[in-house]
Amino acid sequence: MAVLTPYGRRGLIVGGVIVFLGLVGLLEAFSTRSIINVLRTAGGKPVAVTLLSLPELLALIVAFVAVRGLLPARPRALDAFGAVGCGAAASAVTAAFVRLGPALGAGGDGFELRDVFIHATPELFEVLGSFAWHLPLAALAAVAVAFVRPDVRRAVTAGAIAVALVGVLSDHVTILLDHNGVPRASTAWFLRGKSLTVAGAATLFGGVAALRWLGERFRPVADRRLAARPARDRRWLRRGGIALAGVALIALPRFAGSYHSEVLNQVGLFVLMGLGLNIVVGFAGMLDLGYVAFFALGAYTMGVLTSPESFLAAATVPGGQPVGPVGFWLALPVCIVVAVIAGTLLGVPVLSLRGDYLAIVTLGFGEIIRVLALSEWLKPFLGGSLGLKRIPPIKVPWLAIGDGCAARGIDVPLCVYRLAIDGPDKPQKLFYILLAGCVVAAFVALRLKDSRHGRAWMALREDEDVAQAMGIDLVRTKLMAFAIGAAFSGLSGAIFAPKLVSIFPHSFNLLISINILALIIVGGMGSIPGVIVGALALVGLPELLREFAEYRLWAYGIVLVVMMLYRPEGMIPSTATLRELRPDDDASPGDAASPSPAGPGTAVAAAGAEARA
Amino acid sequence: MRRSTTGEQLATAMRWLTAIAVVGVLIYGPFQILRSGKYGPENWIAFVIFGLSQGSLYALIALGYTLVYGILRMINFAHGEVFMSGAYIGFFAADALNRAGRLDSTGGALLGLAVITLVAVAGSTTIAVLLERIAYRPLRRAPRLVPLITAIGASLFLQYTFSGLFGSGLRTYPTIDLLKGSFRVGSVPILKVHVLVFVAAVGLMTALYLFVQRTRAGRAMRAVSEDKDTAALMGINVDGVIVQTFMLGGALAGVAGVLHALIYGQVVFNMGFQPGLKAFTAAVLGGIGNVPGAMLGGLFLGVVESLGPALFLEGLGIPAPHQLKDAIAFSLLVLVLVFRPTGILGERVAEKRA
Repeated sequence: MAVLTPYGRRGLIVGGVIVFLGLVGLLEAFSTRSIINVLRTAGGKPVAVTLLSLPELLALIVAFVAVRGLLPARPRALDAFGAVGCGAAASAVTAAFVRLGPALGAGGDGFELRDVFIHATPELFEVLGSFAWHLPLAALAAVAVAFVRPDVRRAVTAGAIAVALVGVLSDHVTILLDHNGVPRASTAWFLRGKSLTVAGAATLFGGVAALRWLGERFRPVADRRLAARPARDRRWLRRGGIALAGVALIALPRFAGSYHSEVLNQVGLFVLMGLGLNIVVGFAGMLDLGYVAFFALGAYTMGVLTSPESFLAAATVPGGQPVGPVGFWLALPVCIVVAVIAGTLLGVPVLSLRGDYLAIVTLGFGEIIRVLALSEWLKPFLGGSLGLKRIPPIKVPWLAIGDGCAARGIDVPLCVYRLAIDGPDKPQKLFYILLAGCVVAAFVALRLKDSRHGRAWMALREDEDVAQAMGIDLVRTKLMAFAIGAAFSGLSGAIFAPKLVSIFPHSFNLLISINILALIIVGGMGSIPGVIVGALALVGLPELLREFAEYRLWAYGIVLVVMMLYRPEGMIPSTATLRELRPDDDASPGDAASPSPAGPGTAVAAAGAEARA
Repeated sequence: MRRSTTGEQLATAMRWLTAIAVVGVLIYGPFQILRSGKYGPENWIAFVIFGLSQGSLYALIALGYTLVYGILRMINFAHGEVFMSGAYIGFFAADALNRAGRLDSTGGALLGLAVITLVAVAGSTTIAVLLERIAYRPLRRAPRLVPLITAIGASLFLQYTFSGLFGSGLRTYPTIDLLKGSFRVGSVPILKVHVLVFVAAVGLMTALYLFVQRTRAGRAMRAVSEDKDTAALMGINVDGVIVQTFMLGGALAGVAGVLHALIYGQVVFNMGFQPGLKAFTAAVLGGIGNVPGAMLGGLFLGVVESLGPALFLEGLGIPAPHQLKDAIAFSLLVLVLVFRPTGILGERVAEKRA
């Protein structure tokens, strides 16, 4: 019987977590998102009824993960029994809350649960009540998954993730299909209203799972065959792949439409900044929490230089000539240079600081920049809290040619031109500029990583004293990291300003720095593909889930903690980070090492590291 | 002797330039403003009194940073949120008491304040202990940046959990008649609430100092801070001591939360961020890991923040200098870390521990 105690306790915790998610308001906010629906006839008319909603899915995931974590590698009958009991306990807690919660307000003494917990609404009780008793299903699924072969398990997981993602984002899928002229009738078997049909979900699940399984099965064979080909063939294959990816990216805005291009642009801005911060944090190991400062500098420099309302536009040079606003392309290098100079200047005083002190001081810098931009003192130059307005859109000469031709009814042969013909300043065009910026930045970062500087940064990250002893000029190496990181961020800011037309100091708060940090950590510190994946997951996904906006930072907090506890190397780790973060050869004896046995988190992390090894 | 590189020379030059600029501002600003005679002596005294009360709040929070840093060598970035949770949870007690009409009489108000403080302390202590248990303990052997990032995550999580649970708007603390109004010393008016805050903070800090220096538990704490392994060998329950440290820091932050709410009369989910950052600055100013240093640093920072805009910036002809008081605090932090990383009193902070 003692085997069952942890299951019961875990069940109570799961129930508590689900109630907590409800009280925070997350479940209610998501209650309109349905993942799978079925048709029922009500009053003679067919009505789409939700079979699985997003709140229910979240609750099931929580229960699943909790039970899965408790189950041993080879569960016995008693474990299966305990798992279901765990689900039942969780259900009981949820149901008890649904039953007792509304009663709390009925005492007649003027007190209501809602006075304290603002989300304890009747809607919440309804949402929770609708799935309160389904949680043992998740426990059963966890038991079932424990018995499956690992390759099948991975395939099933991939299929489930695909169904969840497409189901959650089905309104966006519909928009995209409409934009590309796919008739709704031809997809009705797959998507109905704002969610998947059962047939659609099953097809998607089966398809993705099969692909994942086949991919895993035949990957080694393909790799072996490829390795047997001469080097020249492999090189051409690689180039072909890159060219294909390039064509796909260039065609992307055409298929994404205006709104989704805007989302991609947002992701692009953060990829740019992420690549820059990745150099500072991921390569050189200096935690910079004031990174938004350079973004702000880039944006403000662009604003001051190009806006017709800025003080510069009214100023005159000593000869009496008006200075006037300049164009984007002339201002761009200035923005980058300003950011680089600022990066170097801010880098100098913090050269001797390490780790957490560096983090706090840079955070202070970021706040100083924001406070200055907001202040009355600099208002004549930066506009104070009113910000800078009327920043003109970016004009790209060859995209303008496309516009001009289209206006004259001339068919433009090149697809790039055609794609861009969509009005003067549509997000689709900005996408190309951001794409170009990201490609350049990624290329620079990639080349730097394996260069002499890159290796100096990594040496610095591992051990500053040893790096210095090996002849690395600490000052230069550190300043270089700060300067290049600042350049990327300045570039991002310079594109951000015309994108928004007006910029305000409160767009440049600490949360941007933390956002970038979070995306680097999720992607994997020091990993360049990781930055892109992180930006898609942490910037793109929340943009698509608008009702999630309120919980975005809350989720970032959880993501940061959970990643650090269970997967500190990120989703796509770089090899060096992986080595560094293995708990068994953790090379920091000077650290606050505890003599006590490590907690459960370390054990899990260690197990994870073993599994990956 | 090793030849210094160009980079190092540049760094030294920058350091000197900054020093000269700072000294220039520190002399020229006060000279101008004092000559202009815009503020009389009672204005300056009022600034100092306000600064002392604000500073004693910083000091109370700073003690939490310093205690944890002294033992774990980590910055508990989420400590500002512990402070916020104390103030917020205290609000519910205050609100309930106020609705029941228990805060009107003098005796009731005193008892009510005690109850509010106890509830707030219980709440903030629980949060601090949970924080340690869930977010920090599993990472005690991890590389140094890892717990810091966890702490940032925990801080965001706590802020937005409070926002989600209790709403993102301001909640107004009930006013307590006993603490309303001010009295005069000479020609200077002093708010009663400022006196309460100052006295409570100084009392608590003295108690904490005595606790750390005189009691067995305090000695265990100091032993763990010196050397965990040896302390464990001497039979000290290291984990227990660490939990105690978080409890102490959390309790002080809870009291600070209530005092803060008494001065400003409102609570909001993100109220912990700025004071937390300031308190950290105060802890560094005094020398982090050093208990009297945190007290001194807090009071000093409070006074500088309150005096600084008028004394140093207004003389330079900067309009609305009070908007820049945060910039003054953070500049102070940067300057201290650059020129005297040991703080006013205390151990070296930029030590070679990567």
